[in-house]
Amino acid sequence: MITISFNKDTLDIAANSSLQQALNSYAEQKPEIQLANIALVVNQRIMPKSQWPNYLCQNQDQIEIFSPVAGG
Amino acid sequence: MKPALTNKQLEQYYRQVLLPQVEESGQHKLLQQHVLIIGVGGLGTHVAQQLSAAGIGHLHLMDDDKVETSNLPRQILFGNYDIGKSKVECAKTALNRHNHQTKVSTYIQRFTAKTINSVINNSSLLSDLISAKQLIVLDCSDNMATRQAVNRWCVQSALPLISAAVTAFRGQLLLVDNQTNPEAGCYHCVFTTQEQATNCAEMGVLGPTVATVASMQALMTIKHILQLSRKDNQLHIFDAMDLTWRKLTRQQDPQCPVCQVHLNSPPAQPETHI
Repeated sequence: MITISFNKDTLDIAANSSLQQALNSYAEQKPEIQLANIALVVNQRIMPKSQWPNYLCQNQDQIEIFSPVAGG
Repeated sequence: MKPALTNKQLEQYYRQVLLPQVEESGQHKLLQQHVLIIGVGGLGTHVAQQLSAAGIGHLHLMDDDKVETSNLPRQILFGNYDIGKSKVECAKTALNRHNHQTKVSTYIQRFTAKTINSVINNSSLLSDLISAKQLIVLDCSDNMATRQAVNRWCVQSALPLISAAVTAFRGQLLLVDNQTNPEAGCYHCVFTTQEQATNCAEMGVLGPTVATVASMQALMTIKHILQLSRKDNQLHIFDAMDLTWRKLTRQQDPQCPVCQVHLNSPPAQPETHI
């Protein structure tokens, strides 16, 4: 197991979990998250959505969810 | 030989010319620059005022909306006397009043892939500017579909895009320039959604929050014109509750359907005029 933080919540996940798997685990705890409309940041770096299944989470990764604003 | 400013221009822009990063040559660049502002609402009106005041040579304003009473608390270029009139035309009148040296062209159109082609086909000036890569595009629109369409068009046309957005107490700002900084990717590399994200009509916003983000957008534009920026691969995020800016590093999406497709393709050319 490794420990990561997701929006400052601590999350224990299996080693070699992908970012997508980590997100799915977190979303199970936080059903209010609208998965279709978010971006993910890993250690201050935005991770393109196509890479979520490929990126393997590392112990102590700091992951954040944020969403676009569109107003002008 | 350095380009010379007139005595009147030197007097007017003295505080800017005084900066060693600007000088006369930099001011001359600003006076020669064309900027297309898509969306003349909260962000667009503020950024247009700042760029006109700074001496940008030619602003191109695109919006199909009319001024409404609910716009006035944050769109301070407009007044009660403008209610019901075209935003771009009212903005042109107000901007000319403040600085008649800045030329203003107006396009009463909502930006879509189709309408921008129509606008270009009816404007030899815009067409020439795009071909010569002498146009900077500012996205000040108010919905996600337009933001994605603007990004796609800028990438296809190889034009730099400075995209700003604001809703409630949050602002976001980024520079997309696939010609000089492809590693940073495009807007779609950050936000893939086509769905409507939160906007001011649903969530509300304060005028000073809009003005803060617009000022940063105007500053980023001037710095880009003067080539003062190092390569900007950040997403700048403003938190109006904490009064803080934060930077997140962007990276190109290797599977981006927008900028990866066009990375190795020649830029799209406007259609030939008939």
